[in-house]
Amino acid sequence: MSGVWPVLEPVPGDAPGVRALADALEASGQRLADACTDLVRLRDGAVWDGPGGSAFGARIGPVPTVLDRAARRHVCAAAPLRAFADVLEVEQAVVQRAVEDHAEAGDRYLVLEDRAAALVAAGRDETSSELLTLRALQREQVAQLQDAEQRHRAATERLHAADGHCARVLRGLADDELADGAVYRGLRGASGVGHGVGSLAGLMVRVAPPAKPVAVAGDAVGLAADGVLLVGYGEGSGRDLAVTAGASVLGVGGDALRTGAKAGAVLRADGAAVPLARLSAQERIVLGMTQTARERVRAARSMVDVDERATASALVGGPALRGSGTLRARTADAARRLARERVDAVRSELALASAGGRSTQRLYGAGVTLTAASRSADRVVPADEERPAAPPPTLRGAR
Amino acid sequence: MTSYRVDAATVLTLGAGLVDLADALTLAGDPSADRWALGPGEVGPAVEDLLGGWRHARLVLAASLAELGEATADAGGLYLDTEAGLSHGLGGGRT
Repeated sequence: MSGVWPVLEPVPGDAPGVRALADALEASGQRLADACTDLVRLRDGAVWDGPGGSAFGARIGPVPTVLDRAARRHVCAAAPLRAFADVLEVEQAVVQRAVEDHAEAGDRYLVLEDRAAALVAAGRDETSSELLTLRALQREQVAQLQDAEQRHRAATERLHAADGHCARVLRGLADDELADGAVYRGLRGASGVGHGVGSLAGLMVRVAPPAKPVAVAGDAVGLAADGVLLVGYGEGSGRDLAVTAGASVLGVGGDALRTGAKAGAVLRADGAAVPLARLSAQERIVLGMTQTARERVRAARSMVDVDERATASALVGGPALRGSGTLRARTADAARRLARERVDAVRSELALASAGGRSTQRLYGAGVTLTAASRSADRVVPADEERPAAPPPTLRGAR
Repeated sequence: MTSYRVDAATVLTLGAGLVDLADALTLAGDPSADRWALGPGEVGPAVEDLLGGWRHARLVLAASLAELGEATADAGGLYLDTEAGLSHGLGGGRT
């Protein structure tokens, strides 16, 4: 059939999907704009209570400027996308109708041609009334084919015009200071965002400073991690828990790397790790930073809310211990329970990291190694030496 | 000038919000995932360029927001100047 007339193609795309994307972009942009507003107000109008707050205020710097640009990218994209979705919906329907009409007319033409061939085979010629009728009907189908092709062409042209208009608007929005390649000039021209905003290589330095050398474990990561966790937690005591709590705070960079290594994978109910997204190593590093920051904020919030008699459990972010027994016994129980949980957790962590491939394992290895280094430093304390009691949890104690 | 005192817990809530935003920026995802809905024309690549073409700034911004969020753990409280309209949403008490 395609040798006789062209095959009309439907138009791919989904208008509700485009509208959903527009809604998501608008919501994202609004969220960015809200954060921008909050930070601008805090930067310009807040007086902080103490040096920590003042440092926070100073770090806000030009972050709101970047947030504002990002918000514009998202919010301003919604309207042209919705307009495009409207055109897509209408013209897609026109095209689809044309495709169906075209196919039906073609089928009818071929059926008529088969009948004509049968009549010719039976001895009729083209001047016979039956064949003249069939040829007239075929001409009607050809007219319908041409009409469908014209409608298809016109709708496609209208859609192409709307597509081009929307794309031009979006490309205009994308041509800003945030665009990759120009971002270095834009941000450095504004003295950088916060502290140390620069290349992503700089991010690596921030989460793994030179003072804490990163040893990439590679294929030996499983053995290294198991060793660290089993040695560090397998026979956990109240004192070990306190040591580990302090070490894990010191090893925050390592935690960031280790957390980031797991991003993009999920454990199925049967325990198998399945990669969900192919996050780059850089994205995993930043994700690790956000997860570490989240844990730090969560710990600080629990410190604010916890009372002055809180236990070591609360020190590491868990709820204050309740129930009977001495404080020492309860703490030891908590340590053993935490040790078991961490050993189970690291096995899951390794499975998740393995799901992301070799680079994920290397990243995970760096994180574990950093953590191991900081914990090893604490464990050089002689076993029979009594450690001072953990300080009461306070906001600053969360460091 | 009237000011409002905002406690550390509220500041930490702000920090949690910043961390959430940083997380969302980091996991903004692959824009090509939505490409199928946009049809075969120029809009698809333009959306990819718009959403994916600021990857470096996005990750840097996410890292900065994560740092800011984490810094709220040390920030303590703050005083808000009502002339700047700061007290709304932060629940500060008048001082």
